[in-house]
Amino acid sequence: MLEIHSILRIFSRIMFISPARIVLAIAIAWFPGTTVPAAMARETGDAIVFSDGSRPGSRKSNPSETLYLASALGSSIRVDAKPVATPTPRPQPTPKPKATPKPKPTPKPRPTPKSTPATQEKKPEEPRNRDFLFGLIKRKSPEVLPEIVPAVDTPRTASKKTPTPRSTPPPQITIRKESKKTPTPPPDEEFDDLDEYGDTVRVFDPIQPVNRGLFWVNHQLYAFILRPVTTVYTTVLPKPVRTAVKNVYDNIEYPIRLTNHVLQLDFKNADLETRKFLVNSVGGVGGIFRLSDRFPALADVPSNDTGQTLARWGIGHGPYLVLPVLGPRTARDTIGLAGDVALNPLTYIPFGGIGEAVSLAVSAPNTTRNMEMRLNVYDAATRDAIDPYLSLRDAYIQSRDKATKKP
Amino acid sequence: MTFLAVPIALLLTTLLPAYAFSTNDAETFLKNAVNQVVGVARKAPDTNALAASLEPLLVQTVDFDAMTRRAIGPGWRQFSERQQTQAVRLFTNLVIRSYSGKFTPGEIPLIDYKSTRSPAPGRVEITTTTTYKGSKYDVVYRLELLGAKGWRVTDIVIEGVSMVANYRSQFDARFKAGGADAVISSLQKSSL
Repeated sequence: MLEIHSILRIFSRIMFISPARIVLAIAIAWFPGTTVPAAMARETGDAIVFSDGSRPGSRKSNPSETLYLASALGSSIRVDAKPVATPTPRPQPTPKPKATPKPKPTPKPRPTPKSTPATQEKKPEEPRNRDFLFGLIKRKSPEVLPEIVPAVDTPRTASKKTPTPRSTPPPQITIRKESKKTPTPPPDEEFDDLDEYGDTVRVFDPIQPVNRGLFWVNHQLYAFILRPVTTVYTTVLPKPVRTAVKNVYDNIEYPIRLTNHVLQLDFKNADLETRKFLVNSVGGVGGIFRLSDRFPALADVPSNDTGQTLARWGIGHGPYLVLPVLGPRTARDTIGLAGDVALNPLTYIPFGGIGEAVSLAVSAPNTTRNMEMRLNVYDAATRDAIDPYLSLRDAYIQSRDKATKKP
Repeated sequence: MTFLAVPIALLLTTLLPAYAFSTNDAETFLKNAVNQVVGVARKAPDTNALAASLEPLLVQTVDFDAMTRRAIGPGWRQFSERQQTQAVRLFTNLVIRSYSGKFTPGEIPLIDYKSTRSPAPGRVEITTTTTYKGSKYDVVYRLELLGAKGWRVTDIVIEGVSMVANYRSQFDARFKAGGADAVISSLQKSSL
């Protein structure tokens, strides 16, 4: 019980939400049909703003945060907007009959009521990805992608059609579990060649200002401390030595990959990984030489980590975070990192006394090697970017999605 | 039913090679282009010289118009004709510079063509494993059949990271902040 409590507390620290609300979110995620009596919000820039002006993830109390948490837990939820009094005319009817309001015979653009002026004035007619709630949800194939009908209707084809009037009353949100057997039909908008890449990267980034701050701090750290250290390392040690160091540490980290292959029920790769470990440990003298590359079957065993296992178990990315020194992560991969550390034999070396010095001596080359790789990735993603922060963030999300989606 | 078998078999035998032929075409086109690029990269003394010598080659291989359009997204319709030409020119330069920046003089990439699939008619995705400086990368080339021009590369996906998708979100943010002008000025800033 104590463990559950502390996990909840850590999670609530990450999400900035009270533990009670997490319990509520679990309830919503697992018990379909719950109605959240929240006055629905509208979408701006890159987040959703509720009608009381608060943002999801903010400390300000808002029951709709549970929606985000529910989706963070990986459940496919569906939000139906049910306008109470004045129906919203929409370009095309939604598949659910009860969610389909009758279109007015002559839809006339009507001025927006100034009920919430703070949130209403910013770019109201932005054609934007409607699945704004799903930053937290694991990406799905288009057929099973839950379709969200936001309360404030922002059609993607707004630029071409007459502006749609907004619904005035706060609608009810009903959450229900989406079954995978009944995929929602894809929206029957005409295929937009320009919007082909509109859905490729979806990131939930609620604490972007904090992240940007840490991104800047990391940039300075890389530039003034870590890059010089790495340069010394790469200059002093010749390439074959560095490759040997890399191979040895890769070999030692075998338990991380094996455990996660098994946890994902991927016994084929678990088997290949074990053979690779044996071949490299025995034939490659403790992993110095990657003898396994000589065998075609063992040359391309995919790497694995705890974050990927969590993804395989259906847990979404969660909010995007920038960690000091380590750089881009999501909430899921941060938890995965803790798993990797626990599975890494190098961390079993006891701390204190002589052990501490040994521990440092053993892990220092590995840290430097990881730094070298991290800097390479960082450079590749940010060098020719328009906005280095966004570039690195989206590159991270895309590469993690690819790692999860193994062939 | 047997009387149908012969026409169907005929139809299949005529259709299948045509289909295979077109994806083969894309493959040979890409292999040629990649070989030429590697050849140029081998000779170039430094990155700047490489960018200069790669430019004519890449212009013939990559469809920068489509790339720019998709990287900017639906906001492209709000670009004036002059802004569109300017955006294409600036983005072309950026891509060429970024691409040539990935080569270190003296290092030669080894490219292993893995598979070719056609997600839609006139489109082909060629998956390769590229070994460069001792590391392996999954590189996917997306090609499109563009009428008289023939096959053209429209996107490169390195380790799951699509170049167009990556620029798309960056341009999106700029476009939302200040429209076409903001996109172009950000491009100009990055090409300094």
